[in-house]
Order: sequence, then structure tokens, then C-alpha cells
Amino acid sequence: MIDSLQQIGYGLSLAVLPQNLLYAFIGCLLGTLVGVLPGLGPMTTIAVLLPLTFQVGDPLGAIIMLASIYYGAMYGGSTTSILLRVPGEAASVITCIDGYEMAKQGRAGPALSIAAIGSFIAGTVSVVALSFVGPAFANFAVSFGPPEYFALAVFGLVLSATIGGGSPVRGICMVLLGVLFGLVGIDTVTGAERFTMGIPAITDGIDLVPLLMGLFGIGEILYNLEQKGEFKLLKSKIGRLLPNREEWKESSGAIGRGSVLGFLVGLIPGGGAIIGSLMSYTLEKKLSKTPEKFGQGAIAGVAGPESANNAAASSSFVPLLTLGLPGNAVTAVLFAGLLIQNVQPGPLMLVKHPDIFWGVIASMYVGNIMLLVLNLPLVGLWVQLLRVPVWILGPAVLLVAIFGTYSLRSNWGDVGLLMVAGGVGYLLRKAALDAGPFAMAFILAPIMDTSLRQALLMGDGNIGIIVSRPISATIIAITSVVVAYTAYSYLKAGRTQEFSRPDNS
Amino acid sequence: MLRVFERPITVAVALIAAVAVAFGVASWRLGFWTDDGPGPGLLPFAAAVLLAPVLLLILREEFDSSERFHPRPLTAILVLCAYAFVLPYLGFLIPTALIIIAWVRWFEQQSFLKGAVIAAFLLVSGWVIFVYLLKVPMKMLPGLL
Repeated sequence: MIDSLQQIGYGLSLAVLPQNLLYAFIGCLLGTLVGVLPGLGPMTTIAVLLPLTFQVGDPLGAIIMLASIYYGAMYGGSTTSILLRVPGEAASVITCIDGYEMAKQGRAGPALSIAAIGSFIAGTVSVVALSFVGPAFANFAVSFGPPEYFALAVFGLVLSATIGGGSPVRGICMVLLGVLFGLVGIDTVTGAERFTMGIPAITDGIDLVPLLMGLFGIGEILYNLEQKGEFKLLKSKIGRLLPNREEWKESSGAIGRGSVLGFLVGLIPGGGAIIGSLMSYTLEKKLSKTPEKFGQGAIAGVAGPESANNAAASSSFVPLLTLGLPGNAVTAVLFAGLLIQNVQPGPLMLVKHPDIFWGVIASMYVGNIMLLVLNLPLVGLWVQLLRVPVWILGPAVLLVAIFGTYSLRSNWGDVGLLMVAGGVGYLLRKAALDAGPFAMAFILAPIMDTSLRQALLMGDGNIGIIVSRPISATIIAITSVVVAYTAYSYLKAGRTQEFSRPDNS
Repeated sequence: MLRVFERPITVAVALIAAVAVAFGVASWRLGFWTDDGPGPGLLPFAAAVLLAPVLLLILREEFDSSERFHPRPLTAILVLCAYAFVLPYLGFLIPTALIIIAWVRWFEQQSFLKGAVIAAFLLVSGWVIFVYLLKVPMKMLPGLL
């Protein structure tokens, strides 16, 4: 406890350095901006800006900026949900329901402010909890050997494939595909070349950054070419900004529950802001004495989900930083950002890079305050941004992606890979195949492969070693339960079930 | 017969199946087991084989059967690939200006003038950020760095 407090103090001393404050501010500003603008989500932005963070040079500054874009977008995403009924980013989908109804009733101000205040409280609660849970996770994971790592990677991938809300079969398909492409390049165990077809450019594997930028950045703008339409701002005024006593009373419990629920959901691989907000809305409706008000402008339907998505966005850093396991697509891209800076996330990160671990966590405290200031008094300014023509975003993303990709290695082939990956990203969107599990599997494939083979060597060729050690056996048992339950639900629902379309933005 | 390929999911499944076969064969050749232990083909072969039943299940799902490809993004993909092909020969300036103008005019259906203004603005901004501030050596014109 005291140790954690000392470490937070150390982190804060790094987070308040002028350059790190600047990176956090730029990230919060960009995050709020992309959160507000529909069609440009945190995933696209973080992916496209990855090469720029390489140019930053300082790993801590780079990760602070990327992380603040992520949680900044969670703040900003509520604005368009409330005023336009268009979610600025995927995790704010649920806010549209009651937020927009409140705006129609002339209560846009309280809806916007409760979303920002809830986000602030939840983000802060989550970061405080993260400061204590993170080291505990890392200490526990230090004892992991190859069987545990293999089991953990399988667990993470199974969850990412099955609990995203889309078809679990399609999720598993993307995981398997990600494993195949993630293994292209030199095999680290035998030194043999795998699936390179003699192309020197991919001897070290398919480069992660152009791949992710193409899948999520270019793929997204290609998909957006189909979505035409202008956004119509609600004519009614935002009105008073602060909630009244009654609204505070209705929101306070929802914010508290949303914070705790979101934090727990974010810890689970495959969980994250979207699931956190959906679960919070369901919970609030069930607990409410007046559930019929939900959908008619219930402030708890805004406060709960908005708190949950922020808490989950922060806590999803725990599996990333302490286990080296990206829990969702956004943290998979952040994983790539760490690798660009030669920082290997995992249990040893606390020992090898305590500055980054504690600096990033402390910067979230600072970032939450910046975001409250940016979002609450300046909400009118953000609304004005919606007057920017949407068609400008496509060419802008395109140019940043192209220049950014080339800037990393001055390699023309990377620009080609960016375009091909963009085409694939578009195809996957159209086919309702989520690129998130693909990205996670692509990143985890080498870890899975090496740990599986090392585990088999440890067990003299017997795969049973994975289920003979207590931790790996427990993880495999939980994974099996998830698989069995998913298979049962899938078969029970029948093949005609409509699955939600993945939203990569 | 070819109309089934108008459905994105059919195209995706066909491509993924081809990828799975290619990886499966290559993994088989790499070997599952060597004298020293598990071989480099073990995990990829398992993944490729598992894809077969998964793809069959996907084909049996009735999901958004009305979903079709849109010509605009498909044309954009071809244009982007052609752009990536000519870049090493022409440098960034001319192809990027042309692609932004074309994008704004035809894909976003705005005027040529708007396309030209946006292209100029984005190229100048990109040059300032990447070349001037970040000192990235970008080949802007043929034969120049």
C-alpha cells in the first residue's frame, strides 16, 4: 500500500514534467476531437498516429499521448450521442438512447455535464484502483512459465472472439487468421523462415504498424465512403449546464456502480469500454424503481454507461501493462506503440520500465482533470466543430496514414502494405468480420507459438503439462467453460440469429 | 453463379479458405516435429485446419444477406494500390495531390476547387509536420529527397 503510494508519487513527478503535460494535453485534445467527430474513432486515430509517436522519441511521452487519446475519446464521444443521436465513438452508442431524449426535452446541458462528471469520477476511481491492482497482477504473473503464458494467450483470444457481441464463430475465424499471419517471418526457435515466399521485406514478419493503420485507418475511411449524410444539430438550446438536485440524486448511484462495473469489465481480456457501457445500462434499468423512464430521458441511463466506459478504458491497461496481453483492439494498437519504442509490456515492465508504468498511470490522473476542463466549460466549442464538413476527414486521415507509414522506415513497400491492409479492412467491415480479434491474435501469435513449443519441450512432448500445473489448468478450465457456454448459446440461438455488426471505429 | 461473389461474406470466406489452404500446405512442409522438439509448422497447421469447420459454420449463418459491395470504395482501393505503385517513381508531391483531388471530387462528390484547396492545405501541413519539424527524409519529387 505504502509502496504503491510512493510509486504513484514517483509517477506523478514524471507526469507533471512540462513535456509530458504537453503530450497528455495534445492527446486529450485529439481524443475529445475524435470522440466528438462521428466517423473518426479512437481506434482509427491511435492507429494512424502511431508513427508520429515514434518521432516523439521518448517512450513515456509517446504512450501518455496515445493513452490520453483513448480515454479522451471516451469523454468526447458522449457529445454527439446526446446532441445528434450519432455516437462519436462505439462505446457511446448506449448514451444515444436517453441522452438524446434528454436533449429533446431541453435538458442537453445536464446530460452533457453528467456524462463529463461521471466520466471524470469513474476515470479517477479506475486509475486509483489500477495503481493497486496493477502491481498485484504483475507480481502474480512473474512466476508464469510457458504453459501459463500459452493458457493465458488462448484465454484472451477466446474471450476477444466470443464476448464482443458479434457472431462468436466469426470472432474465432478472425483469431485463427490472425495467428496465421502473426507467424509469418523467421521462427525464433529454429531460425527457419515461415510463409515468407522469399520476400526479404517480410523476413522479420509483417510489419505491425502499416497493417494496423491499414486495417483500422484506411479500412474505416473506405467504409465511410458508403455512409453519406450530414449531421443535423438539435435546434433546442443546451440550456442550464449543471444538473438539479433531483438529477444529482438519480445519477450518483449510477456513477458509482458504473465505475466499479466498468473497472472490472476492463480487466477481462476481450472486455472494454463498449461492453462496460452496455452492461451498466442493463444494470441501471434493472435496479431502477422506474425502469419505464429508460428510453424516455432517464439521466441514470447516461450517467451509468458514460462512467462505465471511462472506467473500463482505464482498467484495460492492466492486462496490457502487467501481462503483456492486449485485452481489446485499442490496447492491441497501444501494444504496437510500446513495441515501436522498444518497450516490451509484461510482468517485468514494472522492474525494467517503472518510469513508463507509473508515469502512464499518473498521467491518467492529470489527464482526467484536463478532460473535465476541456469538456465541461468548452462543450459549446466542441459542438461548433460538428460544422466541419465530414468529407474533409477522409483525405486528412489518408495523408497522415501515408506520410506516417513512410516516415517509420522510409520503405515504399510499407505504403503498399498499408493500402492492401486498407482493402482487407474494408472487406472485413463489409463481411461483419471484426478486425479487433485479428489484431490481438496477430500480436499474440509469436508468444503463443514459442510458449506452446517450450511447454511441450518441458513436458517431453506431452501437452498434458498445460493442465497439470495449477495456474494454467485453472485458466484452461475457465476457457473451456467460456467455449462450452458460447457453443451452447450459439446452437440454442440458431443460425438465423442476427449478430451486431462490429464497430472498429 | 458469379452473383454469390457480390456478397462480401462469400468473398471473404473464399479468400480466407484460400489463405488457410496455402498456410496449411506450407506448415505441413515445415514439419510438426523436429529432432529437437516441436516444429515450426505445428501451431500454424492447427490454426489452418481449425479454420475449415469455422468457415463452414460462417457460411451457414444467415447474416445481412442484403449486404453488397459499393462501387465507390472498390474503385478507391484500386486507386490507392495504383498510387502506392507509382510513388517510388514519382515521389510524394504529384501523386498525393492528384489522389486527394480525385478523392474529394469523385469519392466525396465535392468540386474540383475544393479538392485542389484541400490537397494544397494537407500537403503543406504534411510537409511542415513530417519534413520540416520531424526531419523525416521524404522523397517529394522524382530524383529528390
